[in-house]
Amino acid sequence: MLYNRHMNAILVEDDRENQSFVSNGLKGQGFKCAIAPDGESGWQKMLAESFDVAIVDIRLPGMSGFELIRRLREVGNRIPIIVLSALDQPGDKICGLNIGADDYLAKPFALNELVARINALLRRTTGKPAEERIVIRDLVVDTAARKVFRNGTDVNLTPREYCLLEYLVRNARRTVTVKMILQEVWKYDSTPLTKVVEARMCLLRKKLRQGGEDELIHTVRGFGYVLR
Amino acid sequence: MCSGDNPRERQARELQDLTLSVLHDLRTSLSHIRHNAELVHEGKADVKSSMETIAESCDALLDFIGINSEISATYAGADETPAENVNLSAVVGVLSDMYSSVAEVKRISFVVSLPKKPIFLTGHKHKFQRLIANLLDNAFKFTPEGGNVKLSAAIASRSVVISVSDTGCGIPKGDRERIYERFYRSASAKKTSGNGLGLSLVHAIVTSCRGDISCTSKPGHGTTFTVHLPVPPCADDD
Repeated sequence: MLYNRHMNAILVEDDRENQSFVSNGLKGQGFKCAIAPDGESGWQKMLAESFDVAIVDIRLPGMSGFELIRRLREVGNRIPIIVLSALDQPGDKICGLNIGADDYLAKPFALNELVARINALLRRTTGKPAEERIVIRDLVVDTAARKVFRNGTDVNLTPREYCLLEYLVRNARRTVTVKMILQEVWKYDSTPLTKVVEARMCLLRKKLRQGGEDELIHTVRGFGYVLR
Repeated sequence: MCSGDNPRERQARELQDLTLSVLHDLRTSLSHIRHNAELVHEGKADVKSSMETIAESCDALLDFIGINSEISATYAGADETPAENVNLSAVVGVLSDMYSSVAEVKRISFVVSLPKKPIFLTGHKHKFQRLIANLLDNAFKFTPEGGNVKLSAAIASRSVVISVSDTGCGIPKGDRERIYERFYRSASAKKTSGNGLGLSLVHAIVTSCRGDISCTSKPGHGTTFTVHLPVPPCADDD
């Protein structure tokens, strides 16, 4: 399910706090993480060494993140790239994707969100199939048949509830934010004022506990939800 | 307003009020962060609980900054990535799915009406999503249990008509002229959470699409917002 172990990431970021936050966070998740403080040193490092994924800030001193990505793609480097931006404007996102980035993340972001996106990218690029049968305690999710069992009993979910549960299960024991859930499950990029995710989670929780079982989905106040 | 008040003085005073509202909201969140950081630093707090409060306050600040930026950028026409042919019916479909759970939990009847043939509209998908979502946010916030919310979209006479109606508390006539102003909240709205920016963003989006928006409401009975967005002639339905 996770592809972190021994994966080699490079972070191209000039802000020291962000360097520390991301690199320490990724190392804690099993990645190796090299740091380049500007576009030129990022370019030189990526020519000299092999990395599995690149995380590139847009606004860098000297060569911009966009210019770095453009050069990499021009020389045929197909490394998966996630762009970071402090502006969160659709224009930045679209420009990044058009130039050759694979994903985009607005600052500030939850470390779990970055890790989830890296894993999703690596899953796509390595061609490793996602697990078809996932077991968490007494919960079994058959992703091929899109069926869910709790304590051996079939749990009848709507298609959207199933998508939500599969997302939680694939990120089991990690906190996922409301924003991550909206993007992954509904492909929706903003955060509505109404608690739409909370309401759906409430309904999902009821269905998963119909037989009086223990709670599987936990609210992490201020951060999101975790399934464990 | 004082007698003899000239428009320039009134404008300056309104700008001052707006600035104070912004500062108030910013300071409130920053205070929560500062206080909890101090408590943790001095060993006087439950660390987990304080961190949760800090995270929530940061998110509130980010949402506040984000929506204000979005309103300004929309009015200014900034970030204008090329318009695309958006399947508005699909946008409505996703939003109706999102809000259906809210309707179920709050025991509100939620009806969505769309024509059989998909409606296409030239523009930016994220703007149409925000426009409809913000109207639905208001409808669900102000409608009590047992009430009704209806969302419809249809093509009529060279425009797409999007309508969101509810059986909520309604908006007094005197407030209806001001509901699109940033930070403006009517007396009844102030009893609920919110920052008074949702309808400002709706108005900014409608304006940027060269459409128009109208509001009919009866206090105690409900409100209907109706948005007309122009459709290029080649996209007209029969």
